[in-house]
Amino acid sequence: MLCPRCCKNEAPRVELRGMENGTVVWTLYYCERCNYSFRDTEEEAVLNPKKRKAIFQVDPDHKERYAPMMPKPAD
Amino acid sequence: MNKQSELPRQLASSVNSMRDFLDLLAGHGQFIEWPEPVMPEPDIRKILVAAGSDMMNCPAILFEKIRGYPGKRLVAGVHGGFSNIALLLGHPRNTPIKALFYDLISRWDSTKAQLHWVPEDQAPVHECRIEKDFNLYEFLPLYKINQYDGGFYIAKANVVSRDPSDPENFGKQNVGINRIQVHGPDIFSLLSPPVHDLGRQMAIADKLGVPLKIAVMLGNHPAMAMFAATPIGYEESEFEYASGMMGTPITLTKSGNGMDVVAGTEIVIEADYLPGETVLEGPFGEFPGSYSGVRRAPLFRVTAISHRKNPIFENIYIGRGWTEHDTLIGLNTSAPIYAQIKKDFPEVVAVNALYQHGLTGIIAVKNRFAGFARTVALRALSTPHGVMYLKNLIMVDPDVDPFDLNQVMWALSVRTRASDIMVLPEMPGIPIDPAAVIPGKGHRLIIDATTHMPPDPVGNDIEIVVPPSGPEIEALAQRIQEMQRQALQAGGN
Repeated sequence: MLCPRCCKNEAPRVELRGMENGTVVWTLYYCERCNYSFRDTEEEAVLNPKKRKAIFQVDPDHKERYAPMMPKPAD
Repeated sequence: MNKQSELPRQLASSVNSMRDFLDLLAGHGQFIEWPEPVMPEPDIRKILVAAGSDMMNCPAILFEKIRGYPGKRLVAGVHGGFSNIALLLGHPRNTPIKALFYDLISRWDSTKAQLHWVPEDQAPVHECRIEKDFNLYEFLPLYKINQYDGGFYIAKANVVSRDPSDPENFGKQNVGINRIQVHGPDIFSLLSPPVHDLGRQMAIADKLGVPLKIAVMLGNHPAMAMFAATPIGYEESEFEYASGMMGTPITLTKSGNGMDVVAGTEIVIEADYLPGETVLEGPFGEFPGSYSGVRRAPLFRVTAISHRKNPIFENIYIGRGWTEHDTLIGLNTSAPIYAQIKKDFPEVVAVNALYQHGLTGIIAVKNRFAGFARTVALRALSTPHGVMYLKNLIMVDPDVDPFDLNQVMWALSVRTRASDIMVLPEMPGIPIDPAAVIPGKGHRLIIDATTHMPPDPVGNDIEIVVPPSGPEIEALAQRIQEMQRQALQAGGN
């Protein structure tokens, strides 16, 4: 399962499997690279990197591009 | 006051928890239980958007059949419609928004806080306690509030924290609404800019190198969700403020980590601040109706969870309006602006700052002379909220109800000239205004739609029609509605 937001993590962490009568209904993942979480039953526009809007993609190799909520002198 | 008009107030005064409030809403058609199974995405979002568009009568909706979350309960829309707010404040369903505004104003500066404490073993919130093996994903029926949110959000939490440099000070204990994104079974990020009270306390903890603990209340007394977001002084207690505004007691207890929490809260998550650790937080669909960006936000680790038996997770839909968030904060955004400018200008009659947290506001004021109304507008811009938020202001006369957009549009149609527009460029603004050229900066637009006064030319011999108004007309309108209902029933038979 490729992380659809950063496309740099092929094995996001499995957080929970939603069960119904002993069957898995969905699986919830967390990407430790870009901190995105998602469920495998979300819309195609969310899960398919080719269909996601570019503005919602994140590059985990350049976290300095994202402003800190708690600015520090070093930032 | 007769017995009939006393009843809503008596019912409201009996509310001591969210469950009590849901019972009150149910008795007035403002609560429904969703009958069919729903998928977390996109079903819950679709239902909440459809319900939330009814700004007067959006009901609270309870979901108990969420696929993959057997036995879990979720409620949203608790403050969805203004009828819910009316019932909370002790008024009948469908009370006009303007009447609710004046009710809030009458409660302003109330000092009659009634806080009671009960021991932990008598507090409903401590009926069940989890002290290890946390899994927030499993404990809470989480869902994507908006499609491109960066994760799963807890968006209606009341977060309690103490000032690390003065932890015994009750007044400095803060209760705020902060968005929380889950980042692991026992870990979450919390957004609180340094200008907000909790952000300030986190900065103090960083500076002093001391721990900071928080208690996250979910499914709270409805007055706490409504009033915790109102900006009050740093040393003022939100618990006292909420109780004072409600005019009813609020019962507190202690959380396991030493915070004061509402005893009847559904869930309290206790957590420790993790200084120096950040994650990428966001985007999140916010109140302007646009997504906030991605930021590096601080982390908290869960240390314990207390909850009532069979707890109800309360969450909210927020995004492009109208939404529950607009109802929840609208009157509390309007009332402080009114109170602050009324001190200097008693001619101010009402303030409507319901739209996008006040990005557009409408002020009714008795115009005294040419240019007076726009002077009042400039005063509104210098209120604490106005500095950042009041981007567009429409000034109207007292014969126009600023909460009735039909009347506001009438004033814009017949009381404006090209010279009534005033634009102030290069002003501060909120960073998440999607129209901002530079985030954090913007313009001020003032449209003076009040009647022209000397020394301006006041026009030709034009007289405004004054239609009949007042209680007699309101009673007639209600009678006509009732006749329509009867006609509908007769037609259906």
